[in-house]
Amino acid sequence: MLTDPAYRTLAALQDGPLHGYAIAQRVREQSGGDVRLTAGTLYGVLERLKERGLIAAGAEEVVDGRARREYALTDDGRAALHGEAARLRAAARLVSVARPRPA
Amino acid sequence: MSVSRSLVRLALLAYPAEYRAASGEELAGTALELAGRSTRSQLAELLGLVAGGVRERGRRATGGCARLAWSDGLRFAALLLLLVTAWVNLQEPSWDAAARVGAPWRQVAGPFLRGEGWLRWGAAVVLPLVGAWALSRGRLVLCAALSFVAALLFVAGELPFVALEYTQAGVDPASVLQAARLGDAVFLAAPGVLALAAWRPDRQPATLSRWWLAVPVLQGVLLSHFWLTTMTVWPVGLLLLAWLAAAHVDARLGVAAFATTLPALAVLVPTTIAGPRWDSALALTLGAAVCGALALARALDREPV
Repeated sequence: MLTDPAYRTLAALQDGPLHGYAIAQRVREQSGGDVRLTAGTLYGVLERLKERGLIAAGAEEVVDGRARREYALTDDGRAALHGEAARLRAAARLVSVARPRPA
Repeated sequence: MSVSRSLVRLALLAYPAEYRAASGEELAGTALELAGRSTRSQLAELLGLVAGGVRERGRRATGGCARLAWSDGLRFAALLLLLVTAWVNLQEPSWDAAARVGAPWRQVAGPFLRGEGWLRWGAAVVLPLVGAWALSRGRLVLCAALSFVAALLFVAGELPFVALEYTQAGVDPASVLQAARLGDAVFLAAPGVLALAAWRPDRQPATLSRWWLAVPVLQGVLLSHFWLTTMTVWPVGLLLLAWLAAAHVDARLGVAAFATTLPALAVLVPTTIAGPRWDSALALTLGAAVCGALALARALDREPV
């Protein structure tokens, strides 16, 4: 099971590697502006995902005077993302098929 | 206004030095980009960095393991209670406090500032301090033994201790006193219970940071303000609130806040029943219980990736 920030971070990376700022921006876009990850939260999530082998970090490079590093989904990360998505779909189905009880 | 790089660097100090060396530049760059121009988001970034740094320290200390977070949290709670006890006894020889509420055992024990009174006061200070030392060195059984000895000596009337002072206008002091003594005894024994609960057969307890010795200093500052001591039900109320916030960044502190609630309730509940200000005592009891439970819930919520 993934926390919401971890799930959204993996989802942001599904189309290709991104650096930290771009991940936060993608999460914000995908949530319609509802979810804003601060750098402190994002890098905590990235650290834990790296430890579990769900993402891989590239080498640090300096762009416009700022250090950046790209993060990419690993095969395990993609599997974890799809597994979590399936779990959420199954959970959502519980609600969509529910009918109001007759009074 | 844009958030300055120096402020970001200051906030980054919350992270462990190795983390800063490996990822500090990248993290600072991302934080500066995300901060933008809105004051709100700049503040959110700075607070996020501080919270993330403390969380990273906690994660490294416990290896991100829920069981170890639980164990360390209980040790923190026990350590805090021991240091609070030592501070209470150090800064105010409690036979005097006992005399103010008409403690019946004071007549048996004799005036505080004579002869054996000093010896008892010294023991009341030294026992929790040695317990705290044992706990910080990972000697949990010794710590538990000292706590239980202190509680037994207190019950026998040989050691002074008053966790909470009462005003007794218009009430029967005997009933309040008995209730207070019961809570105080539980408060003294609680570190022992917590230390034993923190024991893990598969893990040698690590030594704790000396920074925890700052706790009694903080208590001293709080005690120097009368309104704080009365409005927050010293010593736990304000710390619980602080820990409720801290539980957001470190699961161990949430566990510690919860574990501290239990002996605090032992002090508050009997007073609620027997005391003259049952309404405010009840409100504070409920407040402490809710704070502790929320802190624990928040701590447990942090476990998954």
